Parts: sequence; C-alpha cells; structure tokens
Amino acid sequence: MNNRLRLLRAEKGWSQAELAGRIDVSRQAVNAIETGKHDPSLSLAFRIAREFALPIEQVFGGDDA
Amino acid sequence: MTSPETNSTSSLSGEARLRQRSRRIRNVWIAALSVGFLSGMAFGLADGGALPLSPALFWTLLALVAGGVVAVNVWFIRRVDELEVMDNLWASFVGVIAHILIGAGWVAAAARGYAPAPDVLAVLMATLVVTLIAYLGLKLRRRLG
Repeated sequence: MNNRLRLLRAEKGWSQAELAGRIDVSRQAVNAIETGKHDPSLSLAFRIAREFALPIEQVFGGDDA
Repeated sequence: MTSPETNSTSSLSGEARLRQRSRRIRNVWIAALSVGFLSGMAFGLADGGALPLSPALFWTLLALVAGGVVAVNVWFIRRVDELEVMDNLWASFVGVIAHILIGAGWVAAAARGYAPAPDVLAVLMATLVVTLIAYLGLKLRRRLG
C-alpha cells in the first residue's frame, strides 16, 4: 500500500525520529512505513493521519495513491 | 495520579520523547538482566553449598523469577510498537519450530542409537541461539532494506 508519509513529513520539516516520537513508534517503524515495507495497523494509520490533521485517505491510499 | 515525568512528556519534542522512551526501555532491560544475573549467581552459590537454600526458599525464589520474567516481557511487548511486536512474534515462532525439530529430532536419533541421550540444557540453548539469530536477522534485513 502506497502512502504520502515521506512527503507530508518533509512538508512539516520533521525528521523520522520526530514523527516517531509524536506517534509513539520507533524510527525504524516510520522508515518501514515510508518505504512500503510495512503496512501499519488501522489504529496506527489513524494516529498518523491525526498527527497530520488529515483524513486517513489523504495519507494512505490504494496501490496508486 | 500522574508523575512529573508524565506531565512534562507532552511538552517534549517528538525526538526527545523517542529518546526518553528508548532510555526507559533500555533501563528496564538493564535492571531485569542485572536481577537475572544476580539470581543466577545466587542459585549457583546455593548449588555449590555456599548459601543455604531450603526447598521452600528455592520454590519461592523460582516463582519470583518466573513472575519477574513474565512481567518484564509483557511490559516490553505492550510498550513497543507493532513492528517490534511482529519481529518478536516471528523470532519466537522460529524458536518454537526449532525447539520442536531439535528436541524431537534428537530424541528420534537417540532412540536409534545415532546420537547420545538428549540433553535438555543443550536443546534449550540451541533454541535460544536460533531465536536470537532469527531476531537479529529480521533486524538486519530491516536495516539493510
């Protein structure tokens, strides 16, 4: 599943560690999600979307998102 | 009641919160491993006759160690993120499969006279080594991409 996490994070000027601390996961988890190696659980996906104040579908999409 | 640490957490940056969380997890593991090491030394001294250890005291200490091990591991799994839980789950799964194969394989080989009688401690150590290799392999794969 593709996502816009790296782009959104760059817009905020956050490092992976900064985002990781904000959503209560490890930096490796943020990296794995950004590179598409890990699809987050629904609760984590909602937490990420909430951190960016965006609807979940604007962060995570289908294969062509 | 919230601790002063909890109150100040919300004002910390994400990176500071991440560092704080990592430090807390590391400190708990260091404390747990230290207690485990000291317990092992105490049992070793008792086995050597240097410390008196009655059956009641032995079972009490063993129950405390077991309770502590369970408590620390449950705390750890509840504290870490889903990726870490997944890595632990996979490594444990590999460990269980290895334990069954090594144990059953050794028993079968010994029954046919192809190997000496199974050694419980050796099977346990082999299981731990395989589990650790599986865990480190997962971490390495994630790091290398």
